[in-house]
Amino acid sequence: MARICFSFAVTGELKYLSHLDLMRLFQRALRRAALPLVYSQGFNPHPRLSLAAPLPVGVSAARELGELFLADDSIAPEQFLKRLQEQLPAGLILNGAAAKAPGGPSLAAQVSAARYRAAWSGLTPSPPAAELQEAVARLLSLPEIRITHRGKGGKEAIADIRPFIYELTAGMEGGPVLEMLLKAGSSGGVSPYLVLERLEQARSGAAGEAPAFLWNLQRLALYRGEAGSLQELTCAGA
Amino acid sequence: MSLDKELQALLPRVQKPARYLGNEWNVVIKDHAQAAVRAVLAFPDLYEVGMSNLGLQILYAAVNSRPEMLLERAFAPAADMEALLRERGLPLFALESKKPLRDFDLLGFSLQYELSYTNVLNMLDLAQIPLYANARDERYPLVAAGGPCAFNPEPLAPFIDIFLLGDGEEALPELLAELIALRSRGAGRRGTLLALAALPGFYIPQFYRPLYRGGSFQGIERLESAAPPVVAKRTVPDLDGAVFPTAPIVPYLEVVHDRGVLELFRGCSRGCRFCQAGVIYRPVRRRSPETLQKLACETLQATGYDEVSLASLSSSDYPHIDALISDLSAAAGERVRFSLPSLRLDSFSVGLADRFHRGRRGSLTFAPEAGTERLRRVINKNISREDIFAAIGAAVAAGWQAFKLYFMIGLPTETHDDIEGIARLCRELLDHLRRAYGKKPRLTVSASVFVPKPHTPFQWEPQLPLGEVERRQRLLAQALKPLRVVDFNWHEAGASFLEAVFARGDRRLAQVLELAQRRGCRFDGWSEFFSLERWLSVFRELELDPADWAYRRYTHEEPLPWDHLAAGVPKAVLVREHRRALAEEAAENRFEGGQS
Ligand code: SF4
Repeated sequence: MARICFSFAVTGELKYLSHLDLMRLFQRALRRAALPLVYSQGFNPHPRLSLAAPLPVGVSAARELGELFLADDSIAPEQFLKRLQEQLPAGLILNGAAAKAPGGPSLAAQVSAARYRAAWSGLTPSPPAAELQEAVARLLSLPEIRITHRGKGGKEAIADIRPFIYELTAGMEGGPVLEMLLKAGSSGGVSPYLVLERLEQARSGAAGEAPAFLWNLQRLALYRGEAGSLQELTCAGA
Repeated sequence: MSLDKELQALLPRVQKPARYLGNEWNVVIKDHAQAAVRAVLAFPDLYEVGMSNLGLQILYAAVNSRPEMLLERAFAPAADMEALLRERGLPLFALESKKPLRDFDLLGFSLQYELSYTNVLNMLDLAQIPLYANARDERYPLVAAGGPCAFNPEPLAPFIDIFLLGDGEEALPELLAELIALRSRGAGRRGTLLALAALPGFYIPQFYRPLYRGGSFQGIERLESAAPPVVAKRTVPDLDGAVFPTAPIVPYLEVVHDRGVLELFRGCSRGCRFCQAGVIYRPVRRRSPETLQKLACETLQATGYDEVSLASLSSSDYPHIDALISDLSAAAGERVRFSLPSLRLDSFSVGLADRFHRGRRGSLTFAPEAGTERLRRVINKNISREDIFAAIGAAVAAGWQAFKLYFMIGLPTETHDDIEGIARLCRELLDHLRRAYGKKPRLTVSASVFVPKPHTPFQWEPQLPLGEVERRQRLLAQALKPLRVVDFNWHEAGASFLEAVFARGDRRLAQVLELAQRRGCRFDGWSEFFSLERWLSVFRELELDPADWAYRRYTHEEPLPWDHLAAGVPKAVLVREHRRALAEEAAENRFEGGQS
């Protein structure tokens, strides 16, 4: 059995696909590419494919990661890339692939953080840079940022997301730009939308427009390791 | 800002933006400047419903396989998208090019069920196209409609320029070719419609006028000699030679039927007397096993699906269906599942479902339709209690754990005894399964409401009044209560009432549709949007009584609003079948009168 890790970008309108849409899309593309897939056991076998971290709907991505198993190592990573790319819609671009040792932790188990970039969408007038910087400073100075969310079993739970915001900076590149490094992965994390929502509150004092409307969000990279010593998760390193 | 740019700004604000992208796998994008004729297929329901419709994929392939023609798609936008379009004054658009619908040459609606009619009007309104055909001039597209409801389209007649009766895969490209030819000859809108009226299958409602005396329909009068007295339906004679979409559009979203489809055959000759599909899709035409094998392989290759549904009105009637599925499975490989959408209630069909099933033996679905043998004779669904026991017994023995049984409430001649008969049947079935197999499976009883449909032997029958339907629903719920393993679902009786009104409606109902659309009726087939109260207030406002359409017993002698549209079975045969039904007699030759 061979394990292949691949990296891909999600561009254009494909950012509107949900994680499940994207999984289905990859599974169908892999079957069209007639690759020697390995299927899961059980009543409803699926190709053994997984993506490192679900991408929130509306967020484009530069370097997402996925991995899958093939029945044998007859397919070189370059060949894999070529055959799969032919079956993908424009907007879903493979960046690279590498063979991986079959054992070892999954990508999903390794993800611990994600870096996002938000650029002002231009659909409404942009706030002055100073105002945005002030809002960032105000948000980061809060001792805690409480949110209510639906926890396990649908019960409402309160969480503090302040510790999940590792970095948040504002700048200007033609228009306002934000960069954030946020905790992510199976041990918990925070949605970039939630941070943008709180930032908007800190800026205007009101709930305001939906963050997906104000900002174009892109996930730049995924990370592994502990906060403070994060390393970018790549096919080569994983 | 261009429309495309404006729409992009809306996507982040709607719940399911993937409905509106129009760049799915296998989509066909053509250059408008290069096409001699441009058409849109409009499906008056959500994307997820429309994209599950095989007819839509067939027509898309049939038109787009011709280089000089272009066919795009449009669906009814969900409430959030509709609100944004209206707020900004943006027109409804086609998915592929994002061009406004009003910029196309032809806009064709798919009419699958009566309760989508308000969505048809709403889509025209959103497209900023005048609703009434006589208010549209050369600047607007011709508006066409086809599908099962085109066999009694009278409530929509004033809004539509061209109805297409019967199979569309040849007729739609032919219609578009005519438009190209007529335009090059400089035929205007009226000239075009006159020319189309002379061709088989095209019903041009503005060339006919209904006659009334007092409040009653007296027949239809032809206004143009080019328009035939009776419009014939189109039938594709040979499905092996017909277009089939082996590279269908593969949606990103999980749609209602999220799998590949093979159409084994079209038509059904079982002759259930309530069933309109059994009449309008006649005669039965089969695809050969060789063709099916080829189509299956091409479809799997082009889509990457892992499941293919073998669709037809009654798939297990396909000759040597077991051999067909074995051969298909062998050719497709072990990773592909073939499924049958509907099962006949007999041991053979159960054996078939079981042999090709993968995974947990969950639930099987059957449609006995009526609770007593007497009533099943009336509707010509001739299965005995013993057939039912044997079929479900075989399934239980094979390990199936749950069964869904579909019944209808309000069938002609139904009495309270027939309703109690449903509960009796369930009780005796459960007793039998316990005694013979020591099993206690779960049963789900689903009861819909009988709707008399045009072109069927029951077209003259009244629908059971709403209050009585509800009484019988409660009666059935009561009778089923002691059987603790039985779940009971029933349909919204109000929606079935409205379906009956429009199914047998005439042109007087057009104003009702228009006002209902303005009063906010949308997605009436969805229980979360349907409001009987809103509909009734529209009828009251127009001083019309919906009961006049739904509850009336029509006579065999009176003219019917769909008499000028031929579905294939002569009225005399329907009358004979209706009489036999009331005499509780089985059909002769499954009433294969006319053609079959
Ligand atoms: S079996 Fe009966 S209900 Fe089913 S399609 Fe045929 S005629 Fe209609």
